[in-house]
Amino acid sequence: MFRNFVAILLEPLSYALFSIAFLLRISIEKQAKVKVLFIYYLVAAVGFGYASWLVFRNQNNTWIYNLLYLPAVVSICFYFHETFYKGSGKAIVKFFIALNVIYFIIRITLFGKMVIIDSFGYSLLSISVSFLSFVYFYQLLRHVNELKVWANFDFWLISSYLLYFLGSFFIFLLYANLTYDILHSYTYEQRSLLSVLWGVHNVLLFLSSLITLVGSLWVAYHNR
Amino acid sequence: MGSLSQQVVVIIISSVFLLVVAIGIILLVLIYQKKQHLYVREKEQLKVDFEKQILESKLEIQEQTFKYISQEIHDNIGQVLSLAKLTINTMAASDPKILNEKIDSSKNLVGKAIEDLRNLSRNLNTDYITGLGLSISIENEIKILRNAAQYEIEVIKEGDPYRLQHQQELIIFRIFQEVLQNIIKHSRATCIKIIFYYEPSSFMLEISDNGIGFDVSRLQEKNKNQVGIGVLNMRHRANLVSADFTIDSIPGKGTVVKIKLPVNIN
Repeated sequence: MFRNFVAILLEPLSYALFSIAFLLRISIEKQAKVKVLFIYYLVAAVGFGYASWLVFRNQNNTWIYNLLYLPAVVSICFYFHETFYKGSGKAIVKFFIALNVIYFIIRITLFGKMVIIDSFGYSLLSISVSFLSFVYFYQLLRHVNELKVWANFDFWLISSYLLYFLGSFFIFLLYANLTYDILHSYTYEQRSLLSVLWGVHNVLLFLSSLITLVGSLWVAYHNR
Repeated sequence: MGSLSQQVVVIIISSVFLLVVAIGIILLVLIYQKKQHLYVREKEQLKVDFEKQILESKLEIQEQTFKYISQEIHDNIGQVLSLAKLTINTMAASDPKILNEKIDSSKNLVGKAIEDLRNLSRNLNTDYITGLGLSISIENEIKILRNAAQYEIEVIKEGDPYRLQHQQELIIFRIFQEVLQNIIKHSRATCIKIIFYYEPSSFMLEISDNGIGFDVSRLQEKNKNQVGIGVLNMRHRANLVSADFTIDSIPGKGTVVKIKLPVNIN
């Protein structure tokens, strides 16, 4: 029961927590970057909720992951683009968006509908977001102001992104490969092992969403 | 199956490792940011302290200026005009020769009062001082002092003269005025020597006298006496334009004051 919750239901729950965190932010600052991420997380919460339902019905849900990859790239990169002050930072964001979008187009053109999760795409996204987080931290240290870092929602969100995307990198990178290896001998034990691995990913995602929600509440409380 | 479980374990360990790395990076950023935050606050505090010091110095200069004006009016202009009034009061038409003498004397006294007022006005006018420059302003002061014929004054210029920034010239000039006032009031000197050192990397003004001097160690006393406070104020003012103020004195052998300022004439 608990295992099913962690491996299947924790993911949509985490996206729902992200949505709540961004809804709180929208009530305070009506910036486009916050609205875009709110819409993405709301769609993702619904999408991954449906994906969980498909798991319980023993149906393939990989297409949802592969479909939500591009909105994830665009919305997260847009957030970074709006957060960076300097042209060089914005240029790095554009480069990563272009890289991910080109990869997505090539993948669609060459492979069409994939039956296993797009490991390469997600690990590319993982590397992109981790790199952009480093650029953000660099910017944060270069432009110190009177405002405490805890009062900055961007810091909470981007720290949570770094924890999730860097922590999940190997899971993203090797998940498809592992799935592919056992595709023809898909036993219950093998499936359990993969669900443990995905469960670790979900825990990281949940941790990330929780940090974002706590950050949102903290900033809202301190800026009253 | 064994191979798959091993692979999963390796992936989980690698993920935990990367998670720890991420946490480490965030902690480092937090610590470094906190340090920088402290540094920025200290810098702000220094700026506030410096501005406070400038304000205090301005108030002190203003206070001294008022005192100076009051003294000038009372000791010089007031005295001269009182004497002129007395002369006019004692004029009698009976003896035209004495009358003419008294009229001439009154004219001279009023002329002196006007001249004193003009000097006072020049001394106080900041634009006048910055317009003329430090060197000429100091020479004008010396010219007035020479008219009193009480001192033997020597002015020397070493190096090719150049102008300093307006703020620097003004503050050095005000310090010079105070040093000169101190010489007149307390030193009982007969000779004053002023040397301008124009060097490419620094400017120095040296003012020395052959007066009674004083014990410099008294400046270090905790309960500052009048001399100590005056020197401290001059030092503060010098610091405002990044100048070094030094005072050296031996009882019975005079005093040497040096104001040294780093410059970049390029």
